[in-house]
Amino acid sequence: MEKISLSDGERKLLSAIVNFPNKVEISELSRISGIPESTVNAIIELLKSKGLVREEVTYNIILELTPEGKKALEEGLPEEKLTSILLSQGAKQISELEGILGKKELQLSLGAARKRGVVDIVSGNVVLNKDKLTEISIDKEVLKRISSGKELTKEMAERVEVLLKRGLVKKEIKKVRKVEAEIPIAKKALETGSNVIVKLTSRDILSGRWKESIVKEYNVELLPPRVSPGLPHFYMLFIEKIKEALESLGFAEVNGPIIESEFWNFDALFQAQDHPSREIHDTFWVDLPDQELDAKIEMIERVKNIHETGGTTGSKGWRYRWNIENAARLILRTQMTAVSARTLASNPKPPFRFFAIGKVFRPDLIDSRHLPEFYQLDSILGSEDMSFSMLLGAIVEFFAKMGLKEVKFKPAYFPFTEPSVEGYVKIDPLGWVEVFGAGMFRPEVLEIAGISVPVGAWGMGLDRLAMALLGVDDIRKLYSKNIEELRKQFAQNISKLM
Amino acid sequence: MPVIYINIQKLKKLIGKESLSEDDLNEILFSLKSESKKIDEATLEVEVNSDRPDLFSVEGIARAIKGLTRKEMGLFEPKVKDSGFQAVIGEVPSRPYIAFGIVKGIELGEEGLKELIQFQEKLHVTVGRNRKKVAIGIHDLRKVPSINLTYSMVSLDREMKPLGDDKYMKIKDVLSNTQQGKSYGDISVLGGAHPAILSDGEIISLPPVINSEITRLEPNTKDLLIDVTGTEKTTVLKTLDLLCSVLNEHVGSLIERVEVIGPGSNDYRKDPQLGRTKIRLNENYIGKILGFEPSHEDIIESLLRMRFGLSEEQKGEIEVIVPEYRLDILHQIDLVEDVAMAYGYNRIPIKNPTFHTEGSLLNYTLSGKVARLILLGLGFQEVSSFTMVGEEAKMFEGENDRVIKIKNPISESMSFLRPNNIVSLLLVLRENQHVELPLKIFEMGDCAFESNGRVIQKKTIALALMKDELSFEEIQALVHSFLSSIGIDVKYRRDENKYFISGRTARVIANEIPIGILGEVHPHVLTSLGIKYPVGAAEIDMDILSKMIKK
Repeated sequence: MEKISLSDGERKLLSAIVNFPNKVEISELSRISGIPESTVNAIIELLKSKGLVREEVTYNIILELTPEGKKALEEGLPEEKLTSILLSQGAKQISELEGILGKKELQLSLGAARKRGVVDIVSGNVVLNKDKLTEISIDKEVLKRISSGKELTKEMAERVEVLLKRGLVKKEIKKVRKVEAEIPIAKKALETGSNVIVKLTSRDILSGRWKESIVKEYNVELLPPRVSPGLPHFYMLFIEKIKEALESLGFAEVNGPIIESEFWNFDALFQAQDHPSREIHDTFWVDLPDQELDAKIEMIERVKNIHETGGTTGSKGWRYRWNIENAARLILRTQMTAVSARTLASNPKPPFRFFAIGKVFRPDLIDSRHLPEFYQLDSILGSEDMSFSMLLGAIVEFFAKMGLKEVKFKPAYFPFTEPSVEGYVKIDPLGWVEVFGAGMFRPEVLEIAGISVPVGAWGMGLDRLAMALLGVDDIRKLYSKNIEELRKQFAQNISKLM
Repeated sequence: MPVIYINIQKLKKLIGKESLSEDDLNEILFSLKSESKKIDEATLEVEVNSDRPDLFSVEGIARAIKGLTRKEMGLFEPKVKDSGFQAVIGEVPSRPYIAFGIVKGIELGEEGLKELIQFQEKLHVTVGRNRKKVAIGIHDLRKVPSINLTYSMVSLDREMKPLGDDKYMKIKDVLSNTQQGKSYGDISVLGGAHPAILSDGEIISLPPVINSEITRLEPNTKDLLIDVTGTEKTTVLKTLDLLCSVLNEHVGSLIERVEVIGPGSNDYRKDPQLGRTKIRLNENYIGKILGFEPSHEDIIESLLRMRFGLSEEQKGEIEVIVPEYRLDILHQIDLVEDVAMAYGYNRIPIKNPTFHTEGSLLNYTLSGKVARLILLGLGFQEVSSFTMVGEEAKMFEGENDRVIKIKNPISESMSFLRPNNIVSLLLVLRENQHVELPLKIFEMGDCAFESNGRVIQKKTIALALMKDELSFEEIQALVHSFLSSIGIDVKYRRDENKYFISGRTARVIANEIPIGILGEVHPHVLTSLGIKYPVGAAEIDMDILSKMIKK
């Protein structure tokens, strides 16, 4: 006979079955071997297919108590209530009993009691037959035995139909599976069968058992269970890429606070205090006491003079009364140019290139293109020979580094630059996308900061650029809380991000 | 950016060019900083910039286009004469400055009336700073009761017939019952009185609130009386100049001056003054700023196409005459931009930057890269959330600290600044309870809170672990692994806070310096946020960490 191979699991179970003199139920087998029933079932099938065991299936009818039946056992059968009233108070009119028990309950109890002859109804009176009370106790005994699984006498078995009809008992058909070993083939397989290894262990290797065993073949074509790796955020990677591009072009990264004073966000940039954009619709105000301005006195003086009368720049200024209290108010920064203002005021030695990337805040209602907080870039270039055409050149250089070769310029207006420009970049498949604003800082801004060389500045909303380049159609997806969405975006954009 | 709607036919008529194609029009407006879109057969939607208030009107746009297309270059010459009207100005402390002007011979029509009101409103919102700084009243000249006008404070009990009403009512009622009264009534009211313009004893205007029904504009109005009031003299005068000059673009129209007398005994003017400034423009300066040298001829032609005038040219300096309606020219730099605009931005020869500088990234950025690398290796998924959060921020306040509230939030769920990043991580975990657990996430970002009146702003990195069953050691092991991998010596000290379970909270000490916090999130926080599973979390100060990594 060919050597039959057995896995460890099959071997264990088969030994257990062989030790039983008779058929053994599968649930019992599971309990004894400590193997879960579903696994036992699977192994039995394997053993059957090898002809080592045979299975017998029978169907047993089992009686069980219903919830009502359980209640009757604990609290008493409905007719017991009736009989106890009659016992203590004698015969009663039906109408009277209705009043005590309620119509429905009375109906149930009367029906049951009459069937067993425990009561009679004589001209509207319900009369108790005391010698028939044992009928009720026998019914209760039946319920008790069914509940505890004890056997019923023939006489009791006849009462079951009534109890079934009363809904106190129910019948269940139970499938019983039993197995029995095919002796002597099973015994032989246990003695001489070869080992099948399902999971290779260190013990198998060290003991040398692997030499006498066969490793079970797997269906390697099935898909495995899911394992999720930790992945970087696709938008954060994109921003990092931009930072690296700027670094390679000679820009030094700087940063500033998100809670900023109006001084750095507006005043230092020559934006008038009565300008509409400094109002409640366009700026977030924070509920904090004004802090002392972290700017040099001389600079604050310059801001005042230049706003009011143009200072020594040759400008007319804005001609209004400049107020230091307004400048000290705290807001959430609305533009990264606030950081550039700080950088300029720190008196960097030309030539210089700086950039800052961070969150800016504007009270915009949320829709597919707008959010009240988003990432922005601002960069500045200063040198003796810095000029507008060189600024345009720097912008073209940056986009070339991002792989975008076509750039279009349009005159624009920003309060702190002149000349100012807005730009579009051609991004497939969208076409021209407006992505940046730029300009040469106005002489007033440079004088406020104390800078003597021309400085160009350009900024971008990074969210817009990311959406165009990464094929994201809704700005909210850049800040999605849905982990599966983030993983998907990473997968879709790998080639652009790495 | 202000958006206006103009009638295409009217524009073409004013330009005098019936055959201007839509593409040409778009291109010209593009070089004037504007974007335009035809919204129906008759109407063009134009997005203009607030530095060119003269372009808030079809007349102003027509004038600019005539220049750029070389149909009419150089200064526009207004047609002006005296009107015979006289205005006596009193002391009006809350709104001291006023200017008057008359423009006659305007064929308004329905469309024209709408556009005029649109022009007025856009000026109110921008130059006027929502009527506080400047407000404009436009009247049908024929309906003004007399050629004598006065401007003074009048009692709130005085009566007038406000625009839109046929009854007289007290000024105080106009302020409290009309739409304009409610919006603008607070601006100039002072001591039981309000500024008013009167003619023959009748109030014809209550600036900046509302005009009178008496001088109401109609589609068939031909002659206009314009008043401009405000709190800053030069802006008031220039706004009147702007209006009169721009409206004079209509063929056959005439500006008529009003004599303005007072409040001082020596105060006398004729409005509008239509004053023009002269600015010296240095050709070397143009070259320096732009980075290339347009030829002298190109410069001259550009200035003329942008409707400037020239008074002198000598040795590389041009004296430029700035028209009365160009409120944006503060410095010769503003002329340089106009030269570049007319020249054409896309014609400017692009220069490669000539100077070299060393690039660098902040410690925070470099440390962030290192941190990300290690955390990814530990199986953490990176997330990126908003800095603004809702009321849940309060659960994370430190012992003596306060969360920072936003005074004008756009929604309740974004009305506070997050005092730490752990709150954001929990908000993310809440949305991902259906995902396979365990789930590990991290975020690097800004947070802020108030401590003893001072604002503290930090950059931190926060981690969180959500599982069916959690033990403190699991989150601690991850933090320990993270910091040790960077070569940091880590110790822990028992700590307490509002959002971690007492007895399961530790301060993280790195190289002897407190650098963060770690613990099991308290069930009251989890329940409050609707999170069904236990969460372990930690937060590390990135400013301190990045300094350590640098070393």
